[in-house]
Amino acid sequence: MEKKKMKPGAFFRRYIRILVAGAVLLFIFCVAIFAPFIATHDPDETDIYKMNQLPSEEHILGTDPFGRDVFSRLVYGSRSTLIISITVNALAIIIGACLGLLCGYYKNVDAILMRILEGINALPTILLALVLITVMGNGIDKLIICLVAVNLPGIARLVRAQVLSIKEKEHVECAKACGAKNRRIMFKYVLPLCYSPLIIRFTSGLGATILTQASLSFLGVGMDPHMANWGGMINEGKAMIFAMPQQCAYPGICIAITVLAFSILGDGVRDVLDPKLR
Amino acid sequence: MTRFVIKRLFSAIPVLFIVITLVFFMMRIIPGDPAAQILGGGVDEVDPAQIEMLRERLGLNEPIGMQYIHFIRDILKGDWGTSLHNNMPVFQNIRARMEPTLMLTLYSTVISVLIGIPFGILSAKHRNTVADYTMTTVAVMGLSIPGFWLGLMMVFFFGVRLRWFPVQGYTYIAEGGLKMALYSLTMPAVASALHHISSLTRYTRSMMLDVLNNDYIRTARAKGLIENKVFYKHALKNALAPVVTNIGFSIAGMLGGSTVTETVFNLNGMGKLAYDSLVRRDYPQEQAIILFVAIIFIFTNILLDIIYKILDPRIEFD
Repeated sequence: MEKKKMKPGAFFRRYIRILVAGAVLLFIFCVAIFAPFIATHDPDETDIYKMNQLPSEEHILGTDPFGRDVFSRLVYGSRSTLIISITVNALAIIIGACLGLLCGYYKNVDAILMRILEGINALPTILLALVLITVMGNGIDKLIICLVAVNLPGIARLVRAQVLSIKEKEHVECAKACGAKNRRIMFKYVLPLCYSPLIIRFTSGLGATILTQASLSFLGVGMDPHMANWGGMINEGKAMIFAMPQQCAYPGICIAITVLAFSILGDGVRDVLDPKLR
Repeated sequence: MTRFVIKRLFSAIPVLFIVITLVFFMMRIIPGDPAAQILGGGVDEVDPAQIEMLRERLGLNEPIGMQYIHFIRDILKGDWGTSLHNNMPVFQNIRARMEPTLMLTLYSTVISVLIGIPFGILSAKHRNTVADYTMTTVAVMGLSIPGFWLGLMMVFFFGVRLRWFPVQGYTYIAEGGLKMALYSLTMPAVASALHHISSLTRYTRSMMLDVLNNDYIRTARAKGLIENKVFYKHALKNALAPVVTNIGFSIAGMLGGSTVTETVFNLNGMGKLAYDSLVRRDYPQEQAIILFVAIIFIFTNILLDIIYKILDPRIEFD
Protein backbone atom coordinates (compact mmCIF):
# COMPACT_ATOMS: atom_id res chain seq x y z
CA MET A 1 0.00 0.00 0.00
CA GLU A 2 1.40 3.36 -0.94
CA LYS A 3 1.48 6.01 1.68
CA LYS A 4 -0.57 9.05 0.98
CA LYS A 5 0.06 12.33 2.65
CA MET A 6 -2.90 13.10 4.84
CA LYS A 7 -4.62 16.44 4.87
CA PRO A 8 -4.74 18.05 8.31
CA GLY A 9 -8.53 17.65 8.39
CA ALA A 10 -8.39 13.96 7.63
CA PHE A 11 -5.63 13.43 10.18
CA PHE A 12 -7.71 15.17 12.79
CA ARG A 13 -10.82 13.20 11.97
CA ARG A 14 -8.96 9.92 12.06
CA TYR A 15 -7.21 10.47 15.34
CA ILE A 16 -9.83 12.60 17.08
CA ARG A 17 -10.72 9.84 19.53
CA ILE A 18 -7.11 9.27 20.51
CA LEU A 19 -6.50 12.99 20.84
CA VAL A 20 -9.51 13.44 23.10
CA ALA A 21 -8.55 10.42 25.21
CA GLY A 22 -5.01 11.73 25.46
CA ALA A 23 -6.23 15.14 26.55
CA VAL A 24 -8.44 13.59 29.23
CA LEU A 25 -5.53 11.48 30.49
CA LEU A 26 -3.25 14.50 30.52
CA PHE A 27 -5.84 16.28 32.63
CA ILE A 28 -6.06 13.33 35.07
CA PHE A 29 -2.28 13.17 35.32
CA CYS A 30 -2.15 16.90 36.06
CA VAL A 31 -4.79 16.48 38.75
CA ALA A 32 -2.76 13.67 40.30
CA ILE A 33 0.50 15.64 40.21
CA PHE A 34 -0.94 18.91 41.49
CA ALA A 35 -3.39 17.28 43.92
CA PRO A 36 -2.27 19.36 46.94
CA PHE A 37 -3.04 22.58 45.05
CA ILE A 38 -6.40 21.44 43.68
CA ALA A 39 -7.84 19.77 46.76
CA THR A 40 -9.76 22.11 49.02
CA HIS A 41 -9.28 20.05 52.18
CA ASP A 42 -6.94 17.47 53.63
CA PRO A 43 -8.38 14.21 52.16
CA ASP A 44 -7.86 12.34 55.45
CA GLU A 45 -9.21 15.00 57.78
CA THR A 46 -12.23 13.56 59.55
CA ASP A 47 -14.88 15.69 61.21
CA ILE A 48 -17.63 13.93 63.10
CA TYR A 49 -19.76 17.05 63.11
CA LYS A 50 -19.87 17.12 59.35
CA MET A 51 -20.75 13.58 58.39
CA ASN A 52 -22.65 12.89 55.16
CA GLN A 53 -23.21 16.49 54.22
CA LEU A 54 -24.76 17.59 50.98
CA PRO A 55 -22.69 19.75 48.63
CA SER A 56 -22.12 23.18 50.07
CA GLU A 57 -19.81 26.09 49.46
CA GLU A 58 -17.21 24.69 51.80
CA HIS A 59 -17.48 21.10 50.53
CA ILE A 60 -18.14 21.23 46.80
CA LEU A 61 -19.27 17.60 46.58
CA GLY A 62 -20.30 17.12 50.18
CA THR A 63 -18.70 14.91 52.81
CA ASP A 64 -18.49 11.14 53.36
CA PRO A 65 -19.60 9.03 56.38
CA PHE A 66 -16.43 10.09 58.23
CA GLY A 67 -16.91 13.77 57.51
CA ARG A 68 -14.10 13.87 54.95
CA ASP A 69 -14.32 16.13 51.91
CA VAL A 70 -15.44 14.03 48.92
CA PHE A 71 -13.94 16.33 46.29
CA SER A 72 -10.49 16.30 47.88
CA ARG A 73 -10.61 12.53 48.23
CA LEU A 74 -11.52 12.21 44.55
CA VAL A 75 -8.57 14.40 43.63
CA TYR A 76 -6.14 12.40 45.76
CA GLY A 77 -7.71 9.14 44.62
CA SER A 78 -6.38 9.77 41.12
CA ARG A 79 -2.86 9.42 42.51
CA SER A 80 -3.16 5.91 43.84
CA THR A 81 -5.13 4.82 40.79
CA LEU A 82 -2.50 5.99 38.32
CA ILE A 83 0.50 4.90 40.37
CA ILE A 84 -0.87 1.40 40.86
CA SER A 85 -2.02 0.77 37.31
CA ILE A 86 1.15 2.08 35.69
CA THR A 87 3.57 0.35 38.08
CA VAL A 88 1.69 -2.92 37.92
CA ASN A 89 1.61 -3.02 34.15
CA ALA A 90 5.22 -1.92 33.72
CA LEU A 91 6.46 -4.54 36.17
CA ALA A 92 4.21 -7.25 34.78
CA ILE A 93 5.38 -6.50 31.23
CA ILE A 94 9.07 -6.64 32.18
CA ILE A 95 8.84 -9.81 34.25
CA GLY A 96 6.30 -11.42 31.93
CA ALA A 97 8.46 -10.71 28.90
CA CYS A 98 11.48 -12.34 30.56
CA LEU A 99 9.44 -15.39 31.55
CA GLY A 100 7.93 -15.60 28.08
CA LEU A 101 11.37 -15.37 26.48
CA LEU A 102 12.70 -18.14 28.69
CA CYS A 103 9.68 -20.32 27.95
CA GLY A 104 9.82 -19.77 24.25
CA TYR A 105 13.53 -20.30 24.09
CA TYR A 106 14.29 -23.18 26.45
CA LYS A 107 12.15 -26.27 26.14
CA ASN A 108 12.74 -27.60 29.68
CA VAL A 109 11.93 -24.26 31.30
CA ASP A 110 8.85 -24.13 29.14
CA ALA A 111 7.57 -27.49 30.31
CA ILE A 112 7.67 -26.47 33.98
CA LEU A 113 6.92 -22.76 33.85
CA MET A 114 4.05 -22.98 31.40
CA ARG A 115 2.31 -25.61 33.52
CA ILE A 116 2.59 -23.41 36.60
CA LEU A 117 1.29 -20.40 34.72
CA GLU A 118 -1.54 -22.51 33.34
CA GLY A 119 -2.37 -23.51 36.90
CA ILE A 120 -2.46 -19.86 38.01
CA ASN A 121 -4.59 -19.11 34.99
CA ALA A 122 -7.19 -21.65 36.06
CA LEU A 123 -8.00 -19.53 39.11
CA PRO A 124 -10.35 -16.60 38.56
CA THR A 125 -8.54 -13.24 38.69
CA ILE A 126 -10.52 -11.69 41.52
CA LEU A 127 -10.42 -14.82 43.65
CA LEU A 128 -6.68 -15.23 43.19
CA ALA A 129 -6.07 -11.57 43.96
CA LEU A 130 -8.30 -11.81 47.04
CA VAL A 131 -6.43 -14.80 48.41
CA LEU A 132 -3.00 -13.33 47.67
CA ILE A 133 -3.80 -10.02 49.28
CA THR A 134 -5.19 -11.80 52.33
CA VAL A 135 -2.01 -13.83 52.54
CA MET A 136 0.22 -10.77 52.26
CA GLY A 137 -1.88 -8.18 54.07
CA ASN A 138 -3.04 -4.75 52.95
CA GLY A 139 -0.77 -2.06 51.58
CA ILE A 140 -0.06 -0.41 48.27
CA ASP A 141 3.22 -2.31 47.71
CA LYS A 142 1.60 -5.66 48.42
CA LEU A 143 -1.34 -4.79 46.22
CA ILE A 144 1.09 -4.08 43.39
CA ILE A 145 2.85 -7.43 43.87
CA CYS A 146 -0.49 -9.22 43.93
CA LEU A 147 -1.77 -7.53 40.76
CA VAL A 148 1.51 -8.22 38.97
CA ALA A 149 1.18 -11.91 39.84
CA VAL A 150 -2.35 -11.94 38.48
CA ASN A 151 -1.25 -10.35 35.19
CA LEU A 152 1.88 -12.42 34.63
CA PRO A 153 0.48 -15.59 33.03
CA GLY A 154 -1.27 -13.73 30.23
CA ILE A 155 1.79 -11.69 29.30
CA ALA A 156 4.17 -14.63 29.52
CA ARG A 157 1.92 -16.65 27.20
CA LEU A 158 1.69 -13.76 24.76
CA VAL A 159 5.47 -13.37 24.57
CA ARG A 160 6.04 -17.12 24.43
CA ALA A 161 3.75 -17.46 21.42
CA GLN A 162 5.59 -14.61 19.70
CA VAL A 163 9.01 -16.06 20.51
CA LEU A 164 8.06 -19.48 19.16
CA SER A 165 7.27 -18.00 15.77
CA ILE A 166 10.10 -15.44 15.71
CA LYS A 167 12.63 -18.14 16.61
CA GLU A 168 12.10 -19.75 13.22
CA LYS A 169 12.78 -16.56 11.27
CA GLU A 170 15.83 -16.20 9.05
CA HIS A 171 17.49 -13.38 10.92
CA VAL A 172 17.61 -15.47 14.09
CA GLU A 173 19.08 -18.38 12.18
CA CYS A 174 21.59 -16.02 10.67
CA ALA A 175 22.60 -14.71 14.06
CA LYS A 176 22.98 -18.26 15.29
CA ALA A 177 25.16 -19.14 12.32
CA CYS A 178 27.33 -16.15 13.12
CA GLY A 179 27.88 -17.59 16.56
CA ALA A 180 25.77 -15.23 18.65
CA LYS A 181 25.15 -16.39 22.19
CA ASN A 182 21.63 -17.32 23.31
CA ARG A 183 21.29 -14.30 25.51
CA ARG A 184 22.31 -11.95 22.73
CA ILE A 185 19.85 -13.55 20.33
CA MET A 186 17.06 -13.40 22.87
CA PHE A 187 17.43 -9.75 23.76
CA LYS A 188 18.77 -8.38 20.50
CA TYR A 189 16.99 -10.34 17.79
CA VAL A 190 13.87 -11.81 19.34
CA LEU A 191 12.70 -9.37 21.99
CA PRO A 192 12.57 -6.26 19.75
CA LEU A 193 10.06 -8.02 17.52
CA CYS A 194 7.80 -8.50 20.55
CA TYR A 195 7.72 -4.81 21.35
CA SER A 196 4.53 -3.89 19.54
CA PRO A 197 2.31 -6.63 21.07
CA LEU A 198 3.82 -5.74 24.44
CA ILE A 199 3.05 -2.05 24.04
CA ILE A 200 -0.49 -2.95 23.02
CA ARG A 201 -0.81 -5.19 26.06
CA PHE A 202 0.57 -2.45 28.30
CA THR A 203 -1.90 0.20 27.22
CA SER A 204 -4.89 -2.12 27.22
CA GLY A 205 -3.83 -3.51 30.61
CA LEU A 206 -3.86 -0.08 32.28
CA GLY A 207 -7.65 0.21 32.28
CA ALA A 208 -8.19 -3.41 33.25
CA THR A 209 -5.89 -3.05 36.25
CA ILE A 210 -7.79 0.00 37.45
CA LEU A 211 -11.00 -2.04 37.34
CA THR A 212 -9.49 -5.00 39.22
CA GLN A 213 -7.98 -2.73 41.82
CA ALA A 214 -11.28 -0.91 42.24
CA SER A 215 -13.10 -4.22 42.70
CA LEU A 216 -10.63 -5.26 45.39
CA SER A 217 -10.91 -1.94 47.19
CA PHE A 218 -14.66 -2.23 46.92
CA LEU A 219 -14.44 -5.56 48.73
CA GLY A 220 -12.40 -3.80 51.36
CA VAL A 221 -9.02 -5.41 50.69
CA GLY A 222 -5.84 -4.25 49.07
CA MET A 223 -5.41 -0.58 49.75
CA ASP A 224 -4.80 0.91 53.14
CA PRO A 225 -8.35 2.05 54.00
CA HIS A 226 -7.16 5.53 55.02
CA MET A 227 -5.54 6.24 51.71
CA ALA A 228 -7.97 7.96 49.35
CA ASN A 229 -8.87 5.67 46.47
CA TRP A 230 -11.91 5.48 44.25
CA GLY A 231 -12.88 1.85 44.80
CA GLY A 232 -12.62 2.31 48.54
CA MET A 233 -14.81 5.43 48.36
CA ILE A 234 -17.53 3.41 46.67
CA ASN A 235 -17.19 0.81 49.40
CA GLU A 236 -17.52 3.43 52.13
CA GLY A 237 -20.45 5.12 50.40
CA LYS A 238 -22.22 1.79 49.86
CA ALA A 239 -23.96 1.97 53.21
CA MET A 240 -25.41 5.33 52.26
CA ILE A 241 -26.62 4.25 48.82
CA PHE A 242 -30.28 4.74 49.74
CA ALA A 243 -29.93 8.26 51.06
CA MET A 244 -26.85 9.67 49.33
CA PRO A 245 -26.09 7.78 46.12
CA GLN A 246 -23.78 10.58 44.97
CA GLN A 247 -21.10 9.35 47.37
CA CYS A 248 -20.91 6.20 45.25
CA ALA A 249 -21.66 7.90 41.97
CA TYR A 250 -18.70 10.32 41.81
CA PRO A 251 -15.83 7.87 42.31
CA GLY A 252 -17.50 5.44 39.88
CA ILE A 253 -17.69 8.15 37.24
CA CYS A 254 -14.01 8.95 37.82
CA ILE A 255 -13.09 5.28 37.39
CA ALA A 256 -15.20 4.96 34.25
CA ILE A 257 -13.73 8.08 32.63
CA THR A 258 -10.15 7.08 33.40
CA VAL A 259 -10.62 3.53 32.20
CA LEU A 260 -12.45 4.73 29.09
CA ALA A 261 -9.63 7.12 28.23
CA PHE A 262 -7.05 4.35 28.70
CA SER A 263 -9.12 1.92 26.58
CA ILE A 264 -9.52 4.37 23.72
CA LEU A 265 -5.83 5.15 23.86
CA GLY A 266 -5.13 1.40 23.91
CA ASP A 267 -7.33 0.83 20.86
CA GLY A 268 -5.60 3.71 19.12
CA VAL A 269 -2.15 2.33 19.86
CA ARG A 270 -3.28 -1.06 18.61
CA ASP A 271 -4.61 0.39 15.36
CA VAL A 272 -1.32 2.15 14.76
CA LEU A 273 0.96 -0.75 15.68
CA ASP A 274 -1.10 -3.64 14.37
CA PRO A 275 -3.34 -2.36 11.58
CA LYS A 276 -4.63 -5.78 10.60
CA LEU A 277 -6.63 -6.06 13.85
CA ARG A 278 -8.58 -2.93 13.04
CA MET B 1 -12.09 -37.68 17.82
CA THR B 2 -12.14 -40.12 20.76
CA ARG B 3 -8.38 -40.02 20.77
CA PHE B 4 -8.46 -36.26 20.87
CA VAL B 5 -10.86 -36.25 23.82
CA ILE B 6 -8.79 -38.75 25.78
CA LYS B 7 -5.59 -36.89 25.03
CA ARG B 8 -7.14 -33.62 26.11
CA LEU B 9 -8.42 -35.17 29.35
CA PHE B 10 -4.98 -36.53 30.17
CA SER B 11 -3.38 -33.17 29.52
CA ALA B 12 -5.52 -31.76 32.34
CA ILE B 13 -3.84 -33.96 34.95
CA PRO B 14 -0.61 -31.94 35.35
CA VAL B 15 -2.54 -28.67 35.46
CA LEU B 16 -4.87 -30.06 38.11
CA PHE B 17 -1.88 -31.22 40.08
CA ILE B 18 -0.27 -27.78 39.86
CA VAL B 19 -3.48 -26.11 40.98
CA ILE B 20 -3.76 -28.40 43.99
CA THR B 21 -0.13 -27.66 44.89
CA LEU B 22 -0.62 -23.92 44.45
CA VAL B 23 -3.69 -23.90 46.65
CA PHE B 24 -1.91 -25.97 49.30
CA PHE B 25 1.06 -23.63 49.52
CA MET B 26 -1.00 -20.47 49.22
CA MET B 27 -2.97 -21.51 52.27
CA ARG B 28 0.18 -22.47 54.17
CA ILE B 29 2.19 -19.28 53.68
CA ILE B 30 -0.40 -17.12 55.40
CA PRO B 31 1.66 -15.42 58.08
CA GLY B 32 1.05 -16.40 61.66
CA ASP B 33 -0.40 -19.56 63.07
CA PRO B 34 -3.65 -20.35 61.24
CA ALA B 35 -5.03 -22.02 64.34
CA ALA B 36 -4.43 -18.90 66.46
CA GLN B 37 -5.84 -16.77 63.65
CA ILE B 38 -8.98 -18.86 63.44
CA LEU B 39 -9.60 -18.89 67.17
CA GLY B 40 -8.65 -15.34 68.06
CA GLY B 41 -8.72 -13.50 64.76
CA GLY B 42 -5.03 -12.75 65.35
CA VAL B 43 -5.92 -10.22 68.04
CA ASP B 44 -7.18 -11.96 71.18
CA GLU B 45 -5.17 -14.15 73.47
CA VAL B 46 -6.29 -17.74 73.12
CA ASP B 47 -5.79 -20.70 75.42
CA PRO B 48 -2.71 -22.58 74.12
CA ALA B 49 -4.39 -25.93 74.75
CA GLN B 50 -7.21 -24.92 72.44
CA ILE B 51 -4.76 -23.88 69.76
CA GLU B 52 -2.97 -27.19 70.13
CA MET B 53 -6.26 -29.06 69.70
CA LEU B 54 -7.14 -27.18 66.54
CA ARG B 55 -3.64 -27.62 65.16
CA GLU B 56 -4.03 -31.34 65.70
CA ARG B 57 -7.41 -31.35 64.01
CA LEU B 58 -6.17 -29.39 61.01
CA GLY B 59 -3.11 -31.61 60.81
CA LEU B 60 -0.79 -28.63 61.21
CA ASN B 61 1.55 -30.46 63.57
CA GLU B 62 2.85 -32.76 60.90
CA PRO B 63 5.87 -31.90 58.77
CA ILE B 64 4.92 -29.95 55.66
CA GLY B 65 5.76 -32.83 53.31
CA MET B 66 3.42 -35.18 55.13
CA GLN B 67 0.72 -32.50 55.18
CA TYR B 68 1.05 -32.20 51.44
CA ILE B 69 0.77 -35.93 50.86
CA HIS B 70 -2.25 -36.19 53.16
CA PHE B 71 -3.81 -33.20 51.44
CA ILE B 72 -3.57 -34.81 48.03
CA ARG B 73 -4.73 -38.17 49.36
CA ASP B 74 -7.81 -36.62 50.97
CA ILE B 75 -8.68 -34.69 47.85
CA LEU B 76 -8.42 -37.78 45.67
CA LYS B 77 -10.56 -39.68 48.16
CA GLY B 78 -13.19 -36.94 47.94
CA ASP B 79 -12.75 -35.93 51.56
CA TRP B 80 -12.25 -32.18 51.21
CA GLY B 81 -12.61 -31.35 54.87
CA THR B 82 -15.19 -29.64 57.04
CA SER B 83 -15.87 -25.96 57.30
CA LEU B 84 -14.61 -24.29 60.46
CA HIS B 85 -17.54 -21.94 60.30
CA ASN B 86 -20.47 -24.34 60.51
CA ASN B 87 -18.80 -27.75 60.82
CA MET B 88 -20.45 -29.02 57.65
CA PRO B 89 -18.58 -30.86 54.94
CA VAL B 90 -17.22 -28.17 52.63
CA PHE B 91 -18.84 -29.77 49.61
CA GLN B 92 -22.25 -29.51 51.18
CA ASN B 93 -21.69 -25.79 51.74
CA ILE B 94 -20.64 -25.35 48.13
CA ARG B 95 -23.65 -27.27 46.87
CA ALA B 96 -25.99 -25.12 48.95
CA ARG B 97 -24.50 -22.05 47.32
CA MET B 98 -24.52 -23.27 43.76
CA GLU B 99 -28.02 -22.36 42.67
CA PRO B 100 -27.73 -18.54 42.76
CA THR B 101 -24.35 -18.60 41.02
CA LEU B 102 -25.51 -21.03 38.36
CA MET B 103 -28.70 -19.10 37.68
CA LEU B 104 -26.85 -15.80 37.61
CA THR B 105 -24.30 -17.17 35.15
CA LEU B 106 -26.94 -18.60 32.83
CA TYR B 107 -29.17 -15.54 32.97
CA SER B 108 -26.33 -13.14 32.38
CA THR B 109 -24.91 -15.26 29.55
CA VAL B 110 -28.28 -15.38 27.81
CA ILE B 111 -28.55 -11.60 28.04
CA SER B 112 -25.05 -11.01 26.72
CA VAL B 113 -25.42 -13.49 23.85
CA LEU B 114 -28.79 -12.08 22.82
CA ILE B 115 -27.44 -8.54 22.73
CA GLY B 116 -23.73 -8.90 22.09
CA ILE B 117 -23.72 -11.18 19.06
CA PRO B 118 -26.39 -9.33 17.01
CA PHE B 119 -24.66 -6.04 17.83
CA GLY B 120 -21.33 -7.42 16.70
CA ILE B 121 -22.78 -8.81 13.47
CA LEU B 122 -24.61 -5.60 12.62
CA SER B 123 -21.56 -3.58 13.47
CA ALA B 124 -19.43 -5.65 11.09
CA LYS B 125 -22.09 -5.55 8.38
CA HIS B 126 -22.38 -1.79 8.46
CA ARG B 127 -18.70 -1.23 8.99
CA ASN B 128 -17.54 2.37 9.24
CA THR B 129 -21.04 3.79 9.32
CA VAL B 130 -22.62 5.83 12.08
CA ALA B 131 -24.32 2.69 13.42
CA ASP B 132 -20.97 0.89 13.64
CA TYR B 133 -19.29 3.81 15.39
CA THR B 134 -22.16 4.10 17.85
CA MET B 135 -22.11 0.41 18.72
CA THR B 136 -18.34 0.17 19.07
CA THR B 137 -18.25 3.32 21.18
CA VAL B 138 -21.01 2.01 23.43
CA ALA B 139 -19.09 -1.25 23.72
CA VAL B 140 -15.88 0.53 24.79
CA MET B 141 -17.88 2.51 27.32
CA GLY B 142 -19.49 -0.67 28.62
CA LEU B 143 -16.05 -2.16 29.17
CA SER B 144 -14.96 0.89 31.15
CA ILE B 145 -17.78 1.02 33.68
CA PRO B 146 -17.09 -1.03 36.79
CA GLY B 147 -19.78 -3.72 36.99
CA PHE B 148 -20.16 -3.41 40.75
CA TRP B 149 -20.67 0.33 40.47
CA LEU B 150 -23.33 -0.09 37.80
CA GLY B 151 -24.95 -2.62 40.14
CA LEU B 152 -25.03 -0.13 43.00
CA MET B 153 -26.45 2.60 40.80
CA MET B 154 -29.11 0.19 39.55
CA VAL B 155 -29.95 -0.67 43.13
CA PHE B 156 -30.55 3.00 43.75
CA PHE B 157 -32.57 3.78 40.60
CA PHE B 158 -34.54 0.61 39.94
CA GLY B 159 -34.63 -0.73 43.47
CA VAL B 160 -35.02 2.29 45.70
CA ARG B 161 -36.43 5.02 43.49
CA LEU B 162 -38.63 3.13 41.05
CA ARG B 163 -39.12 -0.02 43.15
CA TRP B 164 -39.15 -2.22 40.06
CA PHE B 165 -36.84 -4.89 41.39
CA PRO B 166 -35.88 -6.24 44.81
CA VAL B 167 -32.82 -4.45 46.15
CA GLN B 168 -30.93 -7.54 47.19
CA GLY B 169 -31.12 -11.26 47.83
CA TYR B 170 -32.21 -14.19 45.76
CA THR B 171 -35.51 -16.08 45.75
CA TYR B 172 -34.78 -19.79 45.42
CA ILE B 173 -36.63 -21.72 42.74
CA ALA B 174 -38.05 -24.01 45.42
CA GLU B 175 -39.48 -21.00 47.23
CA GLY B 176 -40.94 -18.82 44.53
CA GLY B 177 -40.64 -20.71 41.28
CA LEU B 178 -38.41 -20.01 38.29
CA LYS B 179 -40.11 -16.75 37.46
CA MET B 180 -39.46 -15.21 40.86
CA ALA B 181 -35.88 -16.48 40.84
CA LEU B 182 -35.20 -14.82 37.52
CA TYR B 183 -37.00 -11.68 38.64
CA SER B 184 -34.80 -11.38 41.71
CA LEU B 185 -31.70 -11.89 39.58
CA THR B 186 -32.50 -9.38 36.84
CA MET B 187 -30.41 -6.52 38.18
CA PRO B 188 -27.36 -8.62 39.10
CA ALA B 189 -27.54 -10.35 35.73
CA VAL B 190 -27.62 -7.08 33.82
CA ALA B 191 -24.83 -5.62 35.93
CA SER B 192 -22.55 -8.57 35.35
CA ALA B 193 -23.60 -8.95 31.71
CA LEU B 194 -22.43 -5.44 30.86
CA HIS B 195 -18.79 -6.40 30.35
CA HIS B 196 -19.67 -9.56 28.49
CA ILE B 197 -22.05 -7.76 26.14
CA SER B 198 -19.35 -5.24 25.32
CA SER B 199 -16.56 -7.71 24.82
CA LEU B 200 -18.80 -10.05 22.85
CA THR B 201 -19.84 -7.20 20.54
CA ARG B 202 -16.24 -6.28 19.90
CA TYR B 203 -15.12 -9.86 19.50
CA THR B 204 -17.92 -10.87 17.14
CA ARG B 205 -17.29 -7.77 15.06
CA SER B 206 -13.57 -8.39 14.68
CA MET B 207 -14.11 -12.11 13.98
CA MET B 208 -16.65 -11.28 11.26
CA LEU B 209 -14.33 -8.72 9.67
CA ASP B 210 -11.53 -11.27 9.81
CA VAL B 211 -13.58 -13.91 8.04
CA LEU B 212 -14.89 -11.46 5.45
CA ASN B 213 -11.31 -10.94 4.27
CA ASN B 214 -10.98 -14.56 3.22
CA ASP B 215 -10.70 -15.77 -0.36
CA TYR B 216 -13.79 -17.93 -0.25
CA ILE B 217 -15.90 -14.91 0.56
CA ARG B 218 -14.55 -13.23 -2.55
CA THR B 219 -15.35 -16.37 -4.53
CA ALA B 220 -18.88 -16.46 -3.15
CA ARG B 221 -19.36 -12.85 -4.11
CA ALA B 222 -17.77 -13.39 -7.51
CA LYS B 223 -20.17 -16.14 -8.38
CA GLY B 224 -22.98 -13.66 -7.88
CA LEU B 225 -24.50 -14.67 -4.54
CA ILE B 226 -26.61 -12.01 -2.91
CA GLU B 227 -24.75 -10.17 -0.19
CA ASN B 228 -27.02 -11.32 2.62
CA LYS B 229 -26.42 -14.94 1.74
CA VAL B 230 -22.67 -14.42 1.64
CA PHE B 231 -22.80 -12.64 4.94
CA TYR B 232 -25.11 -14.84 6.97
CA LYS B 233 -24.39 -18.20 5.42
CA HIS B 234 -20.75 -18.19 4.44
CA ALA B 235 -19.17 -15.72 6.83
CA LEU B 236 -21.24 -16.00 10.00
CA LYS B 237 -20.90 -19.75 10.26
CA ASN B 238 -17.13 -19.55 10.27
CA ALA B 239 -16.90 -16.56 12.54
CA LEU B 240 -19.04 -18.09 15.25
CA ALA B 241 -16.69 -20.91 16.29
CA PRO B 242 -14.23 -18.64 18.14
CA VAL B 243 -17.17 -16.62 19.46
CA VAL B 244 -18.64 -19.73 21.04
CA THR B 245 -15.32 -20.41 22.75
CA ASN B 246 -15.27 -16.86 24.01
CA ILE B 247 -18.73 -17.31 25.52
CA GLY B 248 -17.55 -20.51 27.17
CA PHE B 249 -14.63 -18.69 28.75
CA SER B 250 -16.87 -16.06 30.19
CA ILE B 251 -19.17 -18.74 31.62
CA ALA B 252 -16.23 -20.47 33.24
CA GLY B 253 -15.00 -17.17 34.62
CA MET B 254 -18.40 -16.21 35.99
CA LEU B 255 -18.98 -19.50 37.75
CA GLY B 256 -16.12 -18.72 40.08
CA GLY B 257 -15.56 -15.05 39.68
CA SER B 258 -18.79 -13.23 40.36
CA THR B 259 -17.63 -12.48 43.90
CA VAL B 260 -18.13 -8.75 43.45
CA THR B 261 -21.60 -8.90 41.89
CA GLU B 262 -22.75 -11.37 44.52
CA THR B 263 -21.46 -9.11 47.26
CA VAL B 264 -23.20 -6.03 45.85
CA PHE B 265 -26.56 -7.76 45.63
CA ASN B 266 -26.04 -9.93 48.68
CA LEU B 267 -26.62 -13.17 46.78
CA ASN B 268 -25.57 -16.24 48.69
CA GLY B 269 -23.62 -17.74 45.82
CA MET B 270 -20.23 -19.37 45.51
CA GLY B 271 -18.35 -16.13 44.92
CA LYS B 272 -19.73 -14.68 48.12
CA LEU B 273 -18.92 -17.92 49.95
CA ALA B 274 -15.31 -17.61 48.77
CA TYR B 275 -15.17 -14.04 50.03
CA ASP B 276 -16.91 -14.77 53.33
CA SER B 277 -14.72 -17.78 54.03
CA LEU B 278 -11.64 -15.67 53.45
CA VAL B 279 -12.89 -13.00 55.83
CA ARG B 280 -13.81 -15.64 58.42
CA ARG B 281 -10.44 -17.37 57.98
CA ASP B 282 -12.30 -20.56 57.17
CA TYR B 283 -9.31 -22.09 55.39
CA PRO B 284 -10.68 -25.57 54.58
CA GLN B 285 -13.72 -23.98 52.97
CA GLU B 286 -11.62 -21.46 51.04
CA GLN B 287 -9.28 -24.18 49.85
CA ALA B 288 -12.19 -26.29 48.67
CA ILE B 289 -13.92 -23.51 46.82
CA ILE B 290 -10.78 -22.41 44.99
CA LEU B 291 -10.07 -25.98 43.96
CA PHE B 292 -13.65 -26.51 42.89
CA VAL B 293 -13.69 -23.38 40.77
CA ALA B 294 -10.35 -24.25 39.20
CA ILE B 295 -11.57 -27.74 38.34
CA ILE B 296 -14.70 -26.31 36.73
CA PHE B 297 -12.49 -23.94 34.75
CA ILE B 298 -10.14 -26.67 33.55
CA PHE B 299 -12.93 -28.99 32.47
CA THR B 300 -14.89 -26.20 30.81
CA ASN B 301 -11.74 -25.50 28.83
CA ILE B 302 -11.52 -29.09 27.69
CA LEU B 303 -15.19 -29.09 26.76
CA LEU B 304 -14.64 -25.90 24.78
CA ASP B 305 -11.73 -27.40 22.88
CA ILE B 306 -13.92 -30.35 21.98
CA ILE B 307 -16.79 -28.10 20.87
CA TYR B 308 -14.36 -26.00 18.88
CA LYS B 309 -13.02 -29.09 17.20
CA ILE B 310 -16.55 -30.18 16.28
CA LEU B 311 -17.42 -26.74 14.95
CA ASP B 312 -14.18 -26.33 13.06
CA PRO B 313 -12.49 -29.67 12.32
CA ARG B 314 -9.53 -27.95 10.64
CA ILE B 315 -8.13 -26.92 14.01
CA GLU B 316 -5.16 -28.91 15.28
CA PHE B 317 -4.23 -28.77 18.96
CA ASP B 318 -0.74 -29.73 19.96
